[in-house]
Amino acid sequence: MIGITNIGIHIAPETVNTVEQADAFGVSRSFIEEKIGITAVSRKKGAMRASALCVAAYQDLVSGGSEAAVEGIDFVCVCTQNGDYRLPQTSAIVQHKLGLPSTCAAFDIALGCSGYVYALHVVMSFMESCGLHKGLLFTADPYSEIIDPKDKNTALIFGDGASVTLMTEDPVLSIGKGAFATHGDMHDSLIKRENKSLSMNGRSIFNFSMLHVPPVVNDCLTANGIKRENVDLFLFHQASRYVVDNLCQRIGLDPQKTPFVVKNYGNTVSSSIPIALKNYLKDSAFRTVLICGFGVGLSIASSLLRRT
Amino acid sequence: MQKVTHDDIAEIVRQQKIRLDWDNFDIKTNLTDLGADSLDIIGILFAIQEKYQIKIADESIAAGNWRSIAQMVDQINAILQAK
Repeated sequence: MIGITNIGIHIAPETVNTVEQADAFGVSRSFIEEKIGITAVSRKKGAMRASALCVAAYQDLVSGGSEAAVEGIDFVCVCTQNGDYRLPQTSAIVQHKLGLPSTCAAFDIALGCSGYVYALHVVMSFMESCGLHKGLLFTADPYSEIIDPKDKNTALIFGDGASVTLMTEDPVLSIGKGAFATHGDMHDSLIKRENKSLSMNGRSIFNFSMLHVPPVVNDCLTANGIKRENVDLFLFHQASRYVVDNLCQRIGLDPQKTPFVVKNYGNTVSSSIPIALKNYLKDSAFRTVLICGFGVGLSIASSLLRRT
Repeated sequence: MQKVTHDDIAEIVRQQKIRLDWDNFDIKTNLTDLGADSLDIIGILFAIQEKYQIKIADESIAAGNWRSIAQMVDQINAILQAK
């Protein structure tokens, strides 16, 4: 069965210190440090587009002499809503930049914060149904291209990053059953309109998260026949510390099992879960990991990963 | 229908575990003046919505109708009465 074999990541090296901006945004330093929980947001160089971030994540994947592990790639998928161009698909540009053969399948998935979880299932199913053997699932959503740096609702939260997940028939983590939800009636709570910056209604997103994420997590647990106490790690989309802490409390999870790890680079949208997951990929103490992405759509996706 | 009281809402605020200046607490004082931040207010309003099964409109918040406990009580009772 196709699953997760390895993960490469890229966090844009330049950062903006959010705490230093507290006065300018009319908030306290403790509000940024303790509530938002993000003291720096990563920022890509202006010329770097999504495909360049993907290539940087790929370079991390193959660093350390594991180039052979990615020979024979037959599929590239890029999950992004901020691709290099409106068309063509960014996955084709990445296929070209990596020098992958023309026999390689490639398509994009246009989802935001729930995108990684959705894409894992889509990629797994596509590869299995088409007899593909080695795929690269990228996430890259450079929100610095669409946010207003003077908008405290977004400028203090979102960072630029990317990930690539190597998916093969010899996985480290298998992908279990997914649980999904869509609340399209709230689609304008997080929206990028034509010729406008990203707009986020923080209160609406918080209410959505608290009301609708817990049932999907519970559905995922039920679908996979596992009790919450037997899950080693809950990796939520790293929206903000306030959201993750409140979800943890509301669902009744052990805070030790519900980390918030994006303090130094920010919320990287669809990359937040795979970037966090990389920290635990090689640690066999974590045998079961529930992942849950939620946001743009408004959309929720959760799945259970098991160590093979 | 029994009206919502100031004590009811004060209890909701207390349950949010916000570091408020309770020594200078007054039901007519804006919660932000007592130390609550914007996320604290979001949490309080969410708890109110859930407890009383009401919807609080963004416009009403923007109009400054939910800043103090006294205002919150008035707004909630008005919404419940109109139900």
